[in-house]
Amino acid sequence: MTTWTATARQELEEHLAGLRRSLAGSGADPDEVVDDMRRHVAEEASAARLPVVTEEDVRRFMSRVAPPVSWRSLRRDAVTGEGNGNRNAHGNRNGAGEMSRGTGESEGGGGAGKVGKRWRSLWSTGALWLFGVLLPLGTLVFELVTRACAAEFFNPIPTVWHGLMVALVPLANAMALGLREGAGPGWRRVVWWMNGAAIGVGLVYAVPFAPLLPMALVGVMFGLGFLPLAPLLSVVAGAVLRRRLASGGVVAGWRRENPLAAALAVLVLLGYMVPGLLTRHYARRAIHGDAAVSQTAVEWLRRWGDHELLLRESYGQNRAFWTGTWFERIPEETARELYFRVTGEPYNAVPPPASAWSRSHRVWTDDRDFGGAEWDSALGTEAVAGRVRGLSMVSSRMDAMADADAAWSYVEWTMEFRNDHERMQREARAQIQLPPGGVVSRLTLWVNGEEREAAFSGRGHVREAYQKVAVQQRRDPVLVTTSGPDRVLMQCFPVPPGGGTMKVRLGITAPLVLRGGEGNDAAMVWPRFLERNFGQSGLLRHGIWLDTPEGRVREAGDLAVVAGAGGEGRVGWRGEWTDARLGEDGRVLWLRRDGSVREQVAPDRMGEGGGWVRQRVLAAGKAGVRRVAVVVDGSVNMAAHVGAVADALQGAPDGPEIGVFVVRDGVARLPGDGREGAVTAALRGLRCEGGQDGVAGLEAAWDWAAEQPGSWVCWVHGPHPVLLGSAEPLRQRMERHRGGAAPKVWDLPVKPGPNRVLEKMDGLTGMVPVPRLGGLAEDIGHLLAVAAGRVPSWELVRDHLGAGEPAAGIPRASTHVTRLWAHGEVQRLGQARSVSAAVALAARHQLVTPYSGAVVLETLEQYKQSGLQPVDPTTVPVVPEPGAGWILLLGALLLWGRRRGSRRAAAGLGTT
Amino acid sequence: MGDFFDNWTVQVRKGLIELCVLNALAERERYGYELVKTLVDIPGLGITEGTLYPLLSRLRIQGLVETRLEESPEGPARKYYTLTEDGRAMRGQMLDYLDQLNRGAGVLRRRGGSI
Repeated sequence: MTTWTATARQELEEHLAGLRRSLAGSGADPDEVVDDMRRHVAEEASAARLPVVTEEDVRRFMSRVAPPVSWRSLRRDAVTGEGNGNRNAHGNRNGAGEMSRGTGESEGGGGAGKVGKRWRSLWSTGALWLFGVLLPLGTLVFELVTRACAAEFFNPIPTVWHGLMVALVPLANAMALGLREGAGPGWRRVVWWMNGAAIGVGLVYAVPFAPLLPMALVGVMFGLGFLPLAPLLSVVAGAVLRRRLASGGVVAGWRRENPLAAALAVLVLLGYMVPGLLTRHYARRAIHGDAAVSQTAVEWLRRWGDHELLLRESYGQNRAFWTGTWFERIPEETARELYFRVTGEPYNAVPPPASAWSRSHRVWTDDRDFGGAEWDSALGTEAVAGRVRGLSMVSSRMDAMADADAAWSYVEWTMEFRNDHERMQREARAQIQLPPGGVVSRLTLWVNGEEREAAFSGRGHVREAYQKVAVQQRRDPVLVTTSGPDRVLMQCFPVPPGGGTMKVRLGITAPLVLRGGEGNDAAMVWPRFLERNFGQSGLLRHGIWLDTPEGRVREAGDLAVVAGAGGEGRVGWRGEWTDARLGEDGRVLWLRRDGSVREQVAPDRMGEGGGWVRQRVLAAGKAGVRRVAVVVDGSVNMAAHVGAVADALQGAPDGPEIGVFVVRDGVARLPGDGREGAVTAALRGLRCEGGQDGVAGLEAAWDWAAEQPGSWVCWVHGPHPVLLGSAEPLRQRMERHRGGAAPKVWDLPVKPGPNRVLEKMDGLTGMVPVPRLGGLAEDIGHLLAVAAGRVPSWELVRDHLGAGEPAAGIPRASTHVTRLWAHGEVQRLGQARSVSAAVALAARHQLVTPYSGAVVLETLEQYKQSGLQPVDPTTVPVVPEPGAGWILLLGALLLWGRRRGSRRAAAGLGTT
Repeated sequence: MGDFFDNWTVQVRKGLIELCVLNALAERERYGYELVKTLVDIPGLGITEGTLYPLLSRLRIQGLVETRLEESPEGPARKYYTLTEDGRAMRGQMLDYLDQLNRGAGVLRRRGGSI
């Protein structure tokens, strides 16, 4: 019994496959001959009494039966004895399955023919190396280094996998060209597969490059046209090599595996494109289709779409893999809106998708792929936009003081930004959420280590000055304007490149939120970022410092008393908070206050006629609210919160009628009163998805609430980073519906984030942010209880007493109370369309309001050119508040400093 | 001169190889392996297995030989080749032709004298 090894069988099959190929057109039946030959070899093995037939034995047997390359040559071999070296004095031993064996063409021939053939072979091999290996390899390296095609036409290498597939082409061709005669069958099979895959890859790339061929052919004359021709030429080279491999008997029994490999390569590359193609298709439908078509497309994109593609388009960094209508880019603004509708996340809350190449290959990549955008398209505008590369906040501290009895707090937030970009100046922009009812009352910029205070003037005026100095002259200004209720936009420029820094400080005056039966609990809320275009180190902590009278902090949480700080009768508290900690509801600090203090007066030092401002703490009467329209945002950010809304509604006390409006790809009012089980059950079952259009829900709720005078709208929502429709109809309702009968809109965000709807409601007193003091159910429950008149509601009412001295028994309060009065008065004047008066009052009291802004310029000359006057440094609030003697001393010092600075500027030593 | 002789032997062998196969089978039925071993022993014919089996296949297709399979106790099943009537007739014609050719060539050879 003879046993065959696996390699022996494989070797035999290779030879037989070569024999079968050579018999084409010979007149013999290839199947029959192959069977005969197999039988013959078995007889040989049996006759030789081999217990085990090895690969070497097969080679030995087959050396006598070398497959001739054509019938004609077979006939000649037969009579000359070629292939049988034992018998033929002239014959050459022919190895089986060698590429170098040739194609069987031009048998015989004279010496001149052999020389010519040798030269032709050399030329063709050289051309194969050039067009099959060097050109594709060079083109790949050129594109990776320059990204020329990606920048101008389409991205041929959108992922690492595409890069590897392209690299396979020169590799496969080199392997085929370098295949040696003695290579084993396993390696030959690999080469055969690789060749097929290379042809497939080349074919896929040849198609998108086809439109560039005319240009390429012209470019050939200049030596550059070969680059777009590379895919096509590599396909030709691959096909020639395939023919060589096949004719050399290399393919043996795997002939069909080569086209299979090619088909697989095509499928892999095309398969990668399918999600992108479908995403673009549905994106076009979502953008251009009617409402129903658009909605269906958005639903599809939510479930199956390539969200990363939309994100790349939002950052403007995507280049489609192919050209053509199907691969048209989505405009950035449209992509951002669509990304929000689909994912519910603002695009700039997500880092730009990583490059196709890792950081270790940075030299090959587009800079925009790392840590933000290279180009800041929003420079000088009112949009925060996405992160920019190299810009980060490197230090942050909040120095605060609070007077619980007078119900005010003042926080100075000092921030320092650094720009690590090698050459580009940067603008730091952030939207900051103020404490409820808060107002920016101070703005400072450090210029060469010296503090410069802001000028306060009309909103347009300061923005114009900022644009002129920052964007045009590229000097050092900082600007703060409002961007919605309790929101401001801070922007400073330029943060110098190469590690340059810029340091600014915002002072924020805010009322405390009073709670408790006697109004003896006061909540101090800290400011926080809602949106920013700079990064933060994970190690960054906001240094917190609070100066309060002794014994007033009820729950200090993670703040600790600093021994010896704060002065007589006062206490200093200190802590370090992460940005996430500030973003949580825990940014609230509860203080104890003397509930019996119901009235205080504060001097008006900034008013035209001086005088006093009185602040009274009043327990609001029964609200008398008839309807409460609860608008529930159905966006994905609400998924974890709808249960809390349902809980609050379920526990709502009897009183006003509650209507629940759900915004989920349209607006629907849930039938029945909001307290009913069916409504709360429907809320709990609400599937929150994507980003939703809050305006539509607010309009519907407003109209329902406005049917009954004195109604409320309570908008419970996640961030709205994109405005999906016009907010003007809503603003019109709120502006035109005069009198106390107009519904009041309570804004209740479930998490911090940008809100373009609120930005459009800037300056409207009817839109009131709800102080987020506890859990969501708790805060909504409190609001509904107040609406039902079940819990006391404390109101801080301020009025101007004129110049007369107030009664001696009334406690005196800080000028922060005066600022808060002025803040309210500015808003009242603005609502009454007395904008000039509002601006003048805001400027006098140095406040940033919907009608006024603050800007710090670098030199007095710039202020003068802009028609602005920086504030007197002695009039700005500080922490801690100094006594009168200290104010005079500080004023004298600052005055001396300013005069010295002016003399230096006049002498041409002004800072730059 | 060497090239001339080589080319001439090619032509001679080319003409004789089919006749040798038919002659071998005319003696008796033979299986492939046996037939190969018989023919490779003919000095100067220089036939190989890679040549013979395609030739046998052509002869079968042309109806000059026929085949049958028979199990073998020592190895794989053997394929036996036998001349058909057409094969025998063709062999006769070929031999007649060759004899005639030899006779003519012999006359010329005799006239040319010994080498």
